[in-house]
Amino acid sequence: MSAGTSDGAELKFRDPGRARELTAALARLVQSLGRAPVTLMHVCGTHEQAIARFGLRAGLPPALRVIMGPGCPVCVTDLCEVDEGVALALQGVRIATYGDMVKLPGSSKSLADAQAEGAQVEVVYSATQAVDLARASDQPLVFFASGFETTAVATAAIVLAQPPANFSVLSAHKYVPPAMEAVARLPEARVEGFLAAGHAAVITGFGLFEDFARRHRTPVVVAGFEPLDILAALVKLLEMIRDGEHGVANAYPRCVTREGNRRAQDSLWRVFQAVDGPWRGIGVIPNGNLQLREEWAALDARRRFHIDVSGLKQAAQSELSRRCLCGKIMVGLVEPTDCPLFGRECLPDSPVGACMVSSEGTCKIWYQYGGRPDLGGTA
Amino acid sequence: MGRGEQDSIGRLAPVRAILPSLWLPCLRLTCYDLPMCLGIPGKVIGIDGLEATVDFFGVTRKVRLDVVDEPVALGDYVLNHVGFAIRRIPAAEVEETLKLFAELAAAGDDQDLLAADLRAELAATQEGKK
Repeated sequence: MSAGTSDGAELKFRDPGRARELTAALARLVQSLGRAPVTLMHVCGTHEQAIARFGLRAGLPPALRVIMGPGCPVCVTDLCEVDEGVALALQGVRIATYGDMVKLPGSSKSLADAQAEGAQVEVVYSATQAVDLARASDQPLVFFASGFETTAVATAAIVLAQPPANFSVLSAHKYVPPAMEAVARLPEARVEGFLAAGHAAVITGFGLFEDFARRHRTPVVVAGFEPLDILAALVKLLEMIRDGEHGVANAYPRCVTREGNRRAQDSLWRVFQAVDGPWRGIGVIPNGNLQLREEWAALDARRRFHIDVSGLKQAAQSELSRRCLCGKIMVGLVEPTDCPLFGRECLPDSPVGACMVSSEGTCKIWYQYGGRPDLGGTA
Repeated sequence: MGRGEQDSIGRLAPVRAILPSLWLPCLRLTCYDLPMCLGIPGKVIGIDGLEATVDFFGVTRKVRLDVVDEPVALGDYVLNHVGFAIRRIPAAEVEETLKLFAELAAAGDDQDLLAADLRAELAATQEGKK
């Protein structure tokens, strides 16, 4: 089957010759494995953006599936967590949060809905800006913080830098490695190798994945975000599968080291501890949530405020949200185009599920870059 | 250190020229989303305690140094994520790291999520002093 952009002319590679070599190597390697499909998973919205933006799937051999796992922290922010933010906002507490979080649906309301009802919801780009907002007034301000470990490090740094007394944190931070465990244990996902996100590994180091790779007998390759970085990492993964290597390779050595950023890790774990918690659409992930340690109780909005979410729960899901496939998309079981709502009832301006809200959500990325990015035989 | 770095940013002059115009949309705060794992490289041009002044393709911003892995000096390049430097990029690796970002910065299309995330990442830094 020829792919949608079969001649590669539309691919925006800096070095088209190198890209051709790498895609040819992918085809040879998949063929040598003698089975189809071979499924590889990445766990990073930025990887999906790059794959879609540069049309990488068009050049992949049809027997190779590259899918996105739970790599969008906004998407996995649980309904209950959104409800907490909405309840606080409706109680009259001023909320500062990252842009994507505002439209994210809760059980019955989003922060945008609360805002429309008069609640104070401020969009910030960084934890530092949230602290500045708190400093500028005496009013309590809650920073509703989302993001994986890379972003949690910034929240930790702010907590450690003595924020003003009216500042506190509602943490929806998540920790990716336990979610990879959960996906690796899903028999139906049949993931044979993982691409780990380069900039998260800048913090954690690639050594973190060694134990995971051994236990699940699944290779892990840390990859950068350049199209050629991603192709080279896929080649490396297939070579490791062929050779039965269950280890970790670093295909992004210019930014990632084995031990990672120790100072950032120290800050992260001084402030947060990993606890079991729900991921939207996926379920409870053991040690998947980052909660402020007891020591920082005075800065923890959950301990500081009585948050009553009971008024936000709904007896029944809406008809639309029942049909949403976000949860299955986030563990790689189905693709956005398998969802009957994708591009019809569910659009970036009126998202049904979380995957269409965030710039790192699979559905929004596919929609924005023109639907199914690979077209390989099924369009 | 740093003669090599000087050169690599010099070659990004065309990007510098258009960046101020890309910069304005950042003021419309609700338009862009949070970048979750994208970090962007910039050159340190000033240091004041835990705060560095960093040149990102011609735009000067302030970046916190609380969690960066190694001591940062003037002329170093750092990878910034939501307003914090998360890595000092070794000099030999600077040029390679700048390439993708230079191209993205030049893309300038609101519909381009990767470019939009790059702008959001810049917006997470504080306004710098020249």
